[in-house]
Amino acid sequence: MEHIEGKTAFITGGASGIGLGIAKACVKYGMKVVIADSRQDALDEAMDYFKENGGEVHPIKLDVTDREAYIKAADEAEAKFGKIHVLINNAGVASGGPPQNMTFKDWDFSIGINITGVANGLVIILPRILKHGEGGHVVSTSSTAGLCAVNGCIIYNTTKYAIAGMMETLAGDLEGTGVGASALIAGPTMTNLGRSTFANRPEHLKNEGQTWPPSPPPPPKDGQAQQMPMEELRNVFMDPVETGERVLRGIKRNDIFIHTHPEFREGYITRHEAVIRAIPDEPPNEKRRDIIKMMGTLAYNPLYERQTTPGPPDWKMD
Amino acid sequence: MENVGGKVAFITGGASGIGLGIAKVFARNGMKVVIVDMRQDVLDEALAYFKENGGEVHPINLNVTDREAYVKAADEAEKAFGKIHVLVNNAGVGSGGGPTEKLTYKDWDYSMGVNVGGVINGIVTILPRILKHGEGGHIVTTSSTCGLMGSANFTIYCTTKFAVTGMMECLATELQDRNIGVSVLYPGPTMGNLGLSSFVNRPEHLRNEGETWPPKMPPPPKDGRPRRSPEDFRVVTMDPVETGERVLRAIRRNDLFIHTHPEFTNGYIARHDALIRAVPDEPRNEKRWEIMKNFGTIIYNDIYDKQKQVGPPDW
Repeated sequence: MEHIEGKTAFITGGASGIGLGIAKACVKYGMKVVIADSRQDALDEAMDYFKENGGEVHPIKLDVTDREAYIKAADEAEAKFGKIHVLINNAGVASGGPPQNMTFKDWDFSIGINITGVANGLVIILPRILKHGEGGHVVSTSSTAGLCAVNGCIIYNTTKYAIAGMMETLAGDLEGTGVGASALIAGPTMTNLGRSTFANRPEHLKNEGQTWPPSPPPPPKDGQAQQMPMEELRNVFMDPVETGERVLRGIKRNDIFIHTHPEFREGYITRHEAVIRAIPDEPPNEKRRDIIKMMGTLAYNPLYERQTTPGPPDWKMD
Repeated sequence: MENVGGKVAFITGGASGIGLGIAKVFARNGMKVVIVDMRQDVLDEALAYFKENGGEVHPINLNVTDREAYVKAADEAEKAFGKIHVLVNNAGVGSGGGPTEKLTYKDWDYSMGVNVGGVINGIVTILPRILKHGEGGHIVTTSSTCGLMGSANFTIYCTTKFAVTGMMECLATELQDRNIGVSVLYPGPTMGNLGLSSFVNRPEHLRNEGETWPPKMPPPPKDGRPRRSPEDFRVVTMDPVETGERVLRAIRRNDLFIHTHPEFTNGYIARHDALIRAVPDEPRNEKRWEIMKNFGTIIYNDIYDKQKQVGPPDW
């Protein structure tokens, strides 16, 4: 989608963190923005910012797991701005700990928001985007943990891999419709994911005795990951507005994958090499190969060929 | 897990298709096998097979989305055979094909519930039991070639199969020092009844209106490729017992990834190349890198270095 000015974006989790960064970037480029968020205080704060700094922004209080409310939110967005062109499925929560300690509540909370919340966005808003015919784009926030496994993150890995797969498939489905799809592979970013995760967790999905801030994890066994003061980490974490710039560039370029950080490359390559080494070194079954070749995107998806390399940042940060 | 003789396996979706293929190979190699399935007729059929051909096999009728029943099934398995060593999360459904914008909540909920929720239930219910007895074990989860690359018209299937891929890769990382191996299985075309069983097992409240079996044929491919005939398909699909042999070999070798077909390699490479090409061509932020390189598995997970090259069939 090359021309985004005047178009409307619907951003879940849009009132803080990466969602708010994307909203700010959208406004900068003349888009109208609906920020949907489940926290009223974060919505109010975000609206204070836009009132001061300008921008056609409309706030909607929405829990993405509530399907009825989601439909009403989409109706409200259309009533306000006419059409929705860009859907940013960004609302997400974090979780962590050893797999054997994860409860059904931990799983249900994260799957409900990180996967089903995105599916809800597709069911409700994708048909609306396709219907108006003016083109559009769908971005869903995955993570570097959607491409490689990370210790202590079984639920997060599960949900973020799922989103990568969902967006890659969707991008193929939408070829030729004027609507693109991207997976945002976000690296470390300045956000309040931990706090918002805690604040948004409904009572019935809270484990007993859960408090904020959580007790610090035990020191790593291998001495690799040193504990670092939060302030120091914040110095290196990405400003969500930069993430927003990268997302808009990804939309304009119609990238399948939008990476924010180049530093994870080696990790992805190592993972891929393991996948390939695991393929049995055996002579091909010729007859089978010929038929599998006829299976289209199940065997080989040419979609991937169109992904090109974005250059260095070509925008100005304020 | 090198010595599987006498060990106990718990296989969901174990009474037909890939699950039954795995059960046959396990039984033949001296394992005790609990086959768990929600269709009583296929459980009966499978049991008739084992009665004739031998094997210590115990059937349990279970819907993997039913958490209370799952706990009871695990209890029953332990009562029958003492302990559970190997968990094979194989129950899965293939519904929900079609353009993404036509997919309904019922499509999403049905597949997510079985393909992801059912595996979660297995992990939550059985992993602590395997850890507790301390004799080691292995967990295998059935993904698909669709768990490694996107494929048009399979949004829900790809979502769920990518999900279990991520889940197993993380689990392998977590359990590597606990004497429990973890693998994710990528079956290519296999002889089974996934379409029929997906239809039969679908509960009423998650059925779309007017759904019937067999489904309407999909429209012919846009690019003029000839439509595959079912006969073509049968000729090339793998015998699930071969799949089972590959799974058992991988458990012994402790492979993280189990591929059944080498014919998808180019597809995986195309996907990987795309995601690497998408990394912006910009210099590394050195100050950021100095700190991020200490992030452990967030930045680089050496579980992947442990995957060894797999050889030709040796069974």
